[in-house]
Amino acid sequence: MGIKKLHLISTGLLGLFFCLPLQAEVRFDGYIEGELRLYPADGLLEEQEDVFPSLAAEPALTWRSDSRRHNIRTVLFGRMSDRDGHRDHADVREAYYLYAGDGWQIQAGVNKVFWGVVESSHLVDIINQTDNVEAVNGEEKLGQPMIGLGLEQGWGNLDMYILPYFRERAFPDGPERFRLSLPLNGEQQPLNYDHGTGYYEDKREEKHVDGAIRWWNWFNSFDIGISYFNGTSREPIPIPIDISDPTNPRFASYYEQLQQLGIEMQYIYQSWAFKYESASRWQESGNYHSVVTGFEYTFSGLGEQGYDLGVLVEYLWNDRDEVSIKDPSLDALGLTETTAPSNLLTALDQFKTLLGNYQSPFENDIFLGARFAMNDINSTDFLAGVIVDLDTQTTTASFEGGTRLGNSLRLTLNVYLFEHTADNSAFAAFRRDDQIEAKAKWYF
Amino acid sequence: MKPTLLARVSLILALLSPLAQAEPQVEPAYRKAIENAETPKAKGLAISEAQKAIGEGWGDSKSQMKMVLRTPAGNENTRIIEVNSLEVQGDGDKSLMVFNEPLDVQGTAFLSFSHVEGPDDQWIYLPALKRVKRIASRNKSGSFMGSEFSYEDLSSFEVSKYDFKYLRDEACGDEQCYVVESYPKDEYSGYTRLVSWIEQDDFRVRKIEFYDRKKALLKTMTVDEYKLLNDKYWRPTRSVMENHQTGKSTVLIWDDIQLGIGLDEDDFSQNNLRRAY
Repeated sequence: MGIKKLHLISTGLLGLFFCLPLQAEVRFDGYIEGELRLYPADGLLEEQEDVFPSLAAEPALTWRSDSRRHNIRTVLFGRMSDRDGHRDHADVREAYYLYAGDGWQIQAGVNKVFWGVVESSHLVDIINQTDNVEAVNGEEKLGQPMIGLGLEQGWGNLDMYILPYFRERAFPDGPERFRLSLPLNGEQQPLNYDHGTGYYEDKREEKHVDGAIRWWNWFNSFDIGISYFNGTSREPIPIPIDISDPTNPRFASYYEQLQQLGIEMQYIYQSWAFKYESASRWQESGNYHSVVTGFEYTFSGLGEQGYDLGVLVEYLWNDRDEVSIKDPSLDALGLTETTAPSNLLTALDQFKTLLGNYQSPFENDIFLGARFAMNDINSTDFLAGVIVDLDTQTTTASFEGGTRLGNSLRLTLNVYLFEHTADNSAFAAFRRDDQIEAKAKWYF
Repeated sequence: MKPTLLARVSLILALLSPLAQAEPQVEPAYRKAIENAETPKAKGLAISEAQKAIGEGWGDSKSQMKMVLRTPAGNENTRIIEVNSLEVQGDGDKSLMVFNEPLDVQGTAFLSFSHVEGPDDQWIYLPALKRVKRIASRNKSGSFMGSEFSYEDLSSFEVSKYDFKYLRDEACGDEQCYVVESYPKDEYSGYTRLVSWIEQDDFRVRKIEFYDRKKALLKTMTVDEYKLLNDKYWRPTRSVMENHQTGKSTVLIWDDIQLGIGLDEDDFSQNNLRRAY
């Protein structure tokens, strides 16, 4: 009986193995990229370099049953160069199984999930960790292990996620730009990072099981999404873990637990898209609210050639106070105010202010942007924008443009600038890191 | 008794069989409405209603659309798009389009709900960011992915979106056509008027001229290589849009059109847009 059953199962599995690929669609695609990053100004730190060539690839394998109900997708990413630092990295962007039912879907594995409506900042998007070494604009994400259930019913869509494993955020290092540094003892000091030794508020550390839920729906021209997240904050707070040598303080990332309520709304009226996105966060280092709201107005079919031009205006605001890092960092180190050495306490006071500024860039800022599509056969387009801090005039500007050569080569040019950077700005450490980035992506 | 019944059945069968082979016919009431129309406006409307009616009832469809973009300098680029469509009773159609080529936009998908009343709903899915974005409805006059077809050219034809005027009868190839002028009611249409050549016997569109907001001739679309699907529906497999002001043109070629494959509302959801590729 037992053997017979086993035989049946193995025959079944064997049959399944041989049958499935025949009744399915299998696709292999992706891209290979050559990239050059240039920095016209010398970095704040001696060891930072100016020219960075590198290669990257993102192959993807997709399997889908003919019924389109069973889906398996794997996307890998890797970048390599001849430089030290943290930008040479590999990641599993996606590796999941998804079953699509009628009005519901279930998935398990590594995937990416995007939440949000505004353009200048992503407040509510929290499922995936930012791939901080890959892109300056924060749009690249690390794959997130998850189990997800999505319901699509008359009352709207409800997406639920169980996130059983946390991914730490990496920071540039060595000769790379966009390194965290602080003016200490009259000199710019790098935050030397002990990577991979994150400190956590929760004892389970990266194994803390996070949960997220989002309801979203649309009514005629109005879209709404309400989300709730409970788990490990994706944004690390840098905490000093060793200041015995004041010229070489060592830092690590501290990840606290947070609860976030997110709201996204969008209303479309003729050429207008009015957008609102807000996040409220409850966490140990200080609760705060943030809002981004604005509009995009699109002029379409401009001129004889039929260009499209979108004008974007958004206001960014948050009420985040100084980040309370003292308690979390002492806690993480197993110390208290009475047992900690006095030089650590003094240093913590200093860092508290500096890091507090670093943690909340957009407290009272305005974003102006233009999205242009030439509508030519090569799909030439660009998105340009500036974010100006209304209090300090600290300005970040970006230009992201691209065009196609032939059928499978896309050329892009991205420029990021930091102007009038105030000393207490979140971008103070990057004020010499204006970046020109050229990419040639060959798709297959 | 028995022989009579058998004779009747065979007579009915004999009558039916040639009918099944014949070209699709519009209900006689529509013909009568065209004949009895007293004004050019009424006749234009009657022709357009017949044109809409003869194409109805297809349910759902799946096809592959090849879009060849050409510049006056002779440069060319091809887009290959999977198209799923759903006929919606009492409203405009739903469609889901997924790009296969060019490769850098592979997986980019559009979901569009046309409406008889009010603006259409449109979303675009950007696979690299896994982000769905709503497209402002006013942008219907904008180019669809760099082609000479605008979003409004690709959305389903709805009689209530236009005013009509019959102009004249005119030969079009071997056939006889009605020439009908239509005026978009939507102030955000890219056009002030369209002039359509519609075949008189089966209401197939042969040619449409598009006049821009300045009332100048902007584009001409010629439609041909019709195929009869499911013995009932004429579907064009090739149409060429020429822009007279820029010299650019776009050729659309439909392949592998299947009707009535059983798609339903669930296949046109935002979740499905994300899963489309």
